[in-house]
Amino acid sequence: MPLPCPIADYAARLSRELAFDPRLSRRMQREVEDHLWDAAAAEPGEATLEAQWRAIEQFGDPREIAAQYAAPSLFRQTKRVSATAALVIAAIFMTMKGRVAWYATMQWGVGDDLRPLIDVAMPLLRFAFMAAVGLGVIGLAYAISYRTPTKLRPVDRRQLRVSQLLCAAAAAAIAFSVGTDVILTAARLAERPWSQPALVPAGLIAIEIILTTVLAVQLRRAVRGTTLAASFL
Amino acid sequence: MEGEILKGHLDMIVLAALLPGPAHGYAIIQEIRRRSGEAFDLPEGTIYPALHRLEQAGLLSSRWSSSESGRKRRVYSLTARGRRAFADHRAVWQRFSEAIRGLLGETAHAAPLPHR
Repeated sequence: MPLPCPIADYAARLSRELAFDPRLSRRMQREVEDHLWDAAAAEPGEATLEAQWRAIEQFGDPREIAAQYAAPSLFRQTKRVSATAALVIAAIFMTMKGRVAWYATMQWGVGDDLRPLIDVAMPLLRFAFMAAVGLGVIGLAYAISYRTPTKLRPVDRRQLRVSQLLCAAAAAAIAFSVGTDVILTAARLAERPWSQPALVPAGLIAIEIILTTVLAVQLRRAVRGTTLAASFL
Repeated sequence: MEGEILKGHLDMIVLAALLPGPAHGYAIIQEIRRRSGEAFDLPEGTIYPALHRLEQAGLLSSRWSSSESGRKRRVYSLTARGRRAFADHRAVWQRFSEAIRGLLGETAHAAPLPHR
């Protein structure tokens, strides 16, 4: 039967309350355990169970402590996602331009078989990309326009949701744009025999996929964090 | 001391406690208690959101180190910006406390107001 350890249990509970920010949660669990062991050891004699309970009582309610982190953490995460969306869109614009410049340098024209696909897909790609740019700019402007509150209120949660919705719309548009680009690039490379120069457009497409994935992962974390912190309202 | 009054000045109190040198959370609490003559007695956990907030604002920096017992310990220290912020806080507080002292001193010595 394992011995009870109130300090470890308390630190674990605080860590669970901070689940809306996994990095912060891991850091706080370590810091708080160290703090509580110091406090318990400061009592005369050994760090008995009673000393541990007293240290915990002096420390405070883990839920109240976690609540103080909720608003700053979530707003920081959401602002970071908005900034990432803007950077990803800018980077993908550069990779797309880079690919077009590479085709021109290598004098890789478009075959007749591919022309119908290009004629349909390119306008869609451009539209999706412009939508991503517009939504990304609006999302970033919205995210940096509001002041981070100290406590999470319903109006703050709505602001977070709007910001995340704009980011999600931008991410969806950029994902559609990149997806279309993958199809076009694959079709274009399939037209000619494999050669080392083909690594350049293939590599640029791979970068676009990675950047889009990074944005999606960050957005998912921010949305999940906001959902987990809803209980603090 | 009233908790709500204390909360409003927690940032300045934390910066003051770190002025002598880097310290971890528990040591900061002990320093605050000692220098305030036990007048400031917050729940100890409230120090951590303040430390985090000040670090995000660039007034503190922190790093992991090892304690004597081998536990991982987060040690905080003032940045140059933090020192300047503390100096500003202190100047504002000194002006404020002089004004209050003057007001309370005047009130204590003033003649009682006539009854209507």
